[in-house]
Amino acid sequence: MHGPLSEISLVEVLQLLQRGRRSGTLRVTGPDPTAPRTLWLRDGVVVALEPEASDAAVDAGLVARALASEEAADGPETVPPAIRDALRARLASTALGTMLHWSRGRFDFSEGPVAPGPLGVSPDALVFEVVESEMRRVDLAAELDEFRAVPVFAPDEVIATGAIPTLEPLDWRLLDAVDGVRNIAALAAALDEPLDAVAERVRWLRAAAILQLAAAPPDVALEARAALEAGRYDEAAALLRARVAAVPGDGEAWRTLGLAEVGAGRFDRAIGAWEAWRAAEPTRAEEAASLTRAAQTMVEALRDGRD
Amino acid sequence: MTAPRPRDAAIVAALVRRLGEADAATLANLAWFAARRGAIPAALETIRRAVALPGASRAAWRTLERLAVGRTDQLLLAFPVGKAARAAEPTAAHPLPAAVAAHAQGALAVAEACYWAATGVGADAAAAWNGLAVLHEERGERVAADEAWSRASASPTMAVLHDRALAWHRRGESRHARALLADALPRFTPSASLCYLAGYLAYVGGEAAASIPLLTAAITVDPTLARAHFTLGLAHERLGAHTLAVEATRQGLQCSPWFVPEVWLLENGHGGEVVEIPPEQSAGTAAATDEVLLALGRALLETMLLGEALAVFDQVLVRQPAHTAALFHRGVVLAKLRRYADALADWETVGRVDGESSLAAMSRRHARSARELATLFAVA
Repeated sequence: MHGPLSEISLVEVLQLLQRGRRSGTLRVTGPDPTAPRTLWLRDGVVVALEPEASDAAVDAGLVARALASEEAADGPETVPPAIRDALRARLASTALGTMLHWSRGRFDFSEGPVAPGPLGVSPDALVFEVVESEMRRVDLAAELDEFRAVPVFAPDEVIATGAIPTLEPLDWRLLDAVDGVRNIAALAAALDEPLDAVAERVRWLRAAAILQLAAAPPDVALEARAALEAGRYDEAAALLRARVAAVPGDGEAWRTLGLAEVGAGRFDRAIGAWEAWRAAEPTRAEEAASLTRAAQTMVEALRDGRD
Repeated sequence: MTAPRPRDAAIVAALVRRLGEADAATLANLAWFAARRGAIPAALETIRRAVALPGASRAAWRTLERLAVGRTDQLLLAFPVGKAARAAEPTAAHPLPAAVAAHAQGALAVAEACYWAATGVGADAAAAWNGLAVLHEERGERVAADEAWSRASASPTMAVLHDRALAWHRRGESRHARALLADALPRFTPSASLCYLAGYLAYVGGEAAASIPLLTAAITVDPTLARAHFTLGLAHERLGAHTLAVEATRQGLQCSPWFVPEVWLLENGHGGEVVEIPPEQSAGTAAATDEVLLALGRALLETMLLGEALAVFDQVLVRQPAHTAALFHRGVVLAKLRRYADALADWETVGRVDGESSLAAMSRRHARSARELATLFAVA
């Protein structure tokens, strides 16, 4: 059994194998053909995944999470099986969650006996988990300013008071990473942990009065687009002019500024913005030239109308 | 090591106030965080409190070990309390065994912190105070050592009495040591270690005859106690009982190739196991072993077991080619074997390397005689 993921998604492949309680090896190649994954299925259940949930990956993960050392005395093998298993399950879940979204690549299934493995992930449970994770993420995003909120430590007197909280290792790593600059998304990336897991702990640490959330710095592009869509062209243009003054290489800001100027009826200024856009983003020169020509036509039409 | 930024120090201090009464895992992780933020004194203070609590994890001990020696890298986070994994965590993380292990490895700062933690564990307190006393004694901190032994003596164990007596002996107060042992022996009989130490102190105090029953008692309790066999051999040799000396020393050599006459006894609290460590400033295992081998060689010489005597002196000289006593006695053996040229060479070496000592003078006389009277050393 084999085929391209563009025709049959990995979810469907896994569900078919689960329905048939098939055992064997499933090799999956995604968008990056140099990084194939191998899943072992036993009676339709994923019992192993490499390389993301291999022993080596678990060992490296334990060291990276400060739960084990590279020194033999406190090496990964000294970590209790329950902790290892939990990390392996999380690594597998994260990897499979990503793989389920692949629409490019291919799969190859070879049937054959498979010994029991360290995982026990049924495709149905996996899909449910992915859906649940997405729902959780949507809720958290709404609460945490699309994960752009920046965690900062609460004032000393606030931290020092209150009940003793139960803090998990991830909480301590998160506290260690908090620098008052990176937002939740950046912290999750730095910690190499799922975004929803980090966001949940941030929320909990805020409830425990250890962290607070600083408002996300304004996203000029987003605000300008909102002003543009609401017909507030002058406001949008002002925001974008400030943006390109600060970052002259921001091609998208130049492009949007041209649109705002057109909306405000200032075609000559739009032409100037789009010419700057063409210089900033040569790869979109043709698109910029087309808009510039249109603006010039409008300038000429208006001039002719006045005459 | 750079100082923490003021804001970091304030955050750590606030967390310390908030979490001061938390469980061992939380305190260990707080120490980890403090160390990462550069607040090392706060980290050390916190981790000491963590390891003093029951159930301190291996991660906590590792943090203490590393911070105590000035390391902040590769610190570990403790697993959360209450998780099933906690029960399966490595169990080697108890203060007393950790202290003794660190002590044996010479990591004295770590050992000291762990001993202090163990003094709060009722069943281990005496052993912990004893370990702490030995540690202070090794550092020459006699007042602190005496104070620790005083606390250990509240419920003295065999090791406490042994180490206290050994310390007195090493300070040159053997009379106190022997009195303490004489008082302790009836209470701890049978104790091979106490019997041995009493016998050893008698021997080094010049009372070889008095040492023999004590050393024999030690061997009866523990036939594998090499240092008792060796000391018994020395005592017999001093008393001229060469055959017995040879026998005792041979027994010792079957137990161990090394003679370590003085050891501290550190109890690690688990099943009464005792770890032996030689004092740092002792004469050295090799020197003590050579003393035994020389005695054995002399006893073999006296009993005319010349081939074996030659092998024993050779063994000393392999390690110390200029050992004058071994050279002198090997010269005697060689002469008795009628190998005059070889004997002459050994004695001349003694005369050359040992200057004006009595052994050198005797060697020069023997050498002169050997040259003039080739038959002087012929076996009768």
